[in-house]
Amino acid sequence: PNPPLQSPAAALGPEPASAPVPDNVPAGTSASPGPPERPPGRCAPPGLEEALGALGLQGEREYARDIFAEVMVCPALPQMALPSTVTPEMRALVVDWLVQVHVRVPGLAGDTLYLAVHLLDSYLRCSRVRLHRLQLLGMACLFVACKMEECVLPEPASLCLLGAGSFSQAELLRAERRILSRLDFRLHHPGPLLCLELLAALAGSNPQVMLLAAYFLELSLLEVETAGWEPSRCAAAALSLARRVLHVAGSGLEPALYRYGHRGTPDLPSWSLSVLSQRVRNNC
Amino acid sequence: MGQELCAKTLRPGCSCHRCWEGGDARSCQRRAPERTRTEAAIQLTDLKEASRSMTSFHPRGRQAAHARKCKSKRPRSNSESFQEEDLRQGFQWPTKSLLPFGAASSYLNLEKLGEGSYATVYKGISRINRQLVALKVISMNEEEGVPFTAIREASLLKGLKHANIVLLHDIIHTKETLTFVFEYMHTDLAQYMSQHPGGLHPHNVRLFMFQLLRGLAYIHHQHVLHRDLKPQNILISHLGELKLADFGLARAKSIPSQTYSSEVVTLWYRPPDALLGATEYSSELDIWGAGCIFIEMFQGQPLFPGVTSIFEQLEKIWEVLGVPTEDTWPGVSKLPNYNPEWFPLLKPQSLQNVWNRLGRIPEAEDLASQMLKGFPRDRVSAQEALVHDYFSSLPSQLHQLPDEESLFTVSGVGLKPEMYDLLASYRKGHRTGHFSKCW
Repeated sequence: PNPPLQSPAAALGPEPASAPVPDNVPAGTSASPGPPERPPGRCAPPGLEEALGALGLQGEREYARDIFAEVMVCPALPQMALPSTVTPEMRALVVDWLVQVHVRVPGLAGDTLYLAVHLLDSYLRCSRVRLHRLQLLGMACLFVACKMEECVLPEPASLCLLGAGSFSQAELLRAERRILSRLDFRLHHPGPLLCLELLAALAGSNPQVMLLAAYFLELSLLEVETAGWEPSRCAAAALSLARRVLHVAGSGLEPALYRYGHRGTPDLPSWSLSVLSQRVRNNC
Repeated sequence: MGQELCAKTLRPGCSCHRCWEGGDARSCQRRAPERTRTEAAIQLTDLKEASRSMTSFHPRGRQAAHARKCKSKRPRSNSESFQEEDLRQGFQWPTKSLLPFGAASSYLNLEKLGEGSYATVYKGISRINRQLVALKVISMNEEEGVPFTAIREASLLKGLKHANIVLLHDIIHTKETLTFVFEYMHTDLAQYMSQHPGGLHPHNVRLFMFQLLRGLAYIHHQHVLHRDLKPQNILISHLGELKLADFGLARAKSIPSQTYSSEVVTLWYRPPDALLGATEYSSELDIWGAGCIFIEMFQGQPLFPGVTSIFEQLEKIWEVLGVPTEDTWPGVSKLPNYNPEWFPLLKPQSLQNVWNRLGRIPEAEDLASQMLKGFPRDRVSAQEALVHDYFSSLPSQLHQLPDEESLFTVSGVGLKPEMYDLLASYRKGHRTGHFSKCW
């Protein structure tokens, strides 16, 4: 028996992110007391179950709200300046290169790239790096991300070849150890792709909008500013921009994007447009 | 933009910090200083250039791949800085006079407890707080670096804090190995069952099962699948506290687009959907394994012992559950290992016909049958199972316990002596008391 997730009226309340909405206790046959209520602050938009179904996640009925809460409120990295040795342009250059490497290594999942860039940004926030080691750091982050996400690992030797000999395999493995140690194995990060898929499914976006939004999301990787954003905020911005570009009629999604993506983000469109203008100009 | 970076990078005498070559990196490079220097020069190439030549398989790349392996034995740890610069800048541990976490010297190895697929486990003692610990020493793979199982286990356990999940105290980095310091548990469920043959006391089964489901409900709420449930991975303390361990195959399930490998879970505890080759599974995967362990605790025997192949395992399961059809399990005939020639006359049996002890305990068979459903969606969730009538005889406070509080903090909750221990003590004329052999 699927417990109803939540009435739409409750989900559309004025302050959903802070409104305590307890889980529905599953209809047990027992006379014993139900499980302890989950902490407040978990809420689900209407249609979440259908959206999860559209993503092939029907099995997650029991935990749908938790998954949604986790991916949507995943905290951002602290807004911090890059280490003095690394400028935003250099970071963008390495990330751009990682995007290309990610394409060249066959079969890598999209999430692996986002995790790799997240690890890179996390490392840059807690440690310094010599400029000529930035490329090695980026590759080692991708390597660690593969170990977290992929079923089939790329060979370290082939990754070194992709680096055109600028670092050895031993150096790659040493860098891996350093990343694990510096980040203290705190590597888990849901990333923005699932947020985007969920938001798009909730909004009933067509594949074209989704594709463009995914492209914008990838462009946002290059921005040092968005590295300090919640993944859900990046996803909401990318989707919002894609819908504007393709002139998808508003279906009342925007308020939901603001609400579930990130509360109080009045600058979504302005960021989106500035990114679009900069990046598309550079790339075209 | 690329050109700009290149110019900056190539500026001689770049005053970047020596972050990447501190510590033992130096000891490796000492043997070939000339080569290091030339390599450093090569590294100062345009990143764009590098990316363009990615596909050209450079001979130098191969050379680099066979770079000399460092042999330094100096232990390295979280608490020690990798960078001497850091030390010079006065980086200090707050408890400088005390033993630090993360240092190999803070723990004493006592005895070897066991050997896993990628690690050796030792019993140890912490010199910081004199507590017993389990030291899981992971050796580095020369080709692949840190095993991915170790990376997943540590990163997942960092985020899991629950009374029924094994606690990761500390991580020690040394040159050759990585050591995870876990809380020490006295035995595991496999050993506990083998020390008490003939099935466990029904009261203890209930307590163990409640804790197992409590741990599973917690990790499933955290979007983590264990994926390798078996008695060997379930640790038991003196008191009877049960903790899930060995998260090497576990993974965060919040990312659905990835299809998981179907090669998870030891064959005996693998659910039929995974056996049939389904690669999209979810928390129901762990529920099947928990159901198998549930019945095994009563019976004292694995449910499907001696099975060596996937098809043998499936046939054993069909003998109990009946061969699934599209009616009982939508989509089953499309799974890769589905065999249309399975004899469809095998009818489902009641579980207590097969495993007789289930029938003696009220409600136990009902819970077991809800966990051992062929069609994954039909399986009960861990959260739902916790409020099953089978557990209604337990104190109601158990449902309100905070995550990190053990069942045994509630008064009146405790293990009962196993029948086997009572018989043994009767024969020997004294109580054997606690299980003394560890692991």
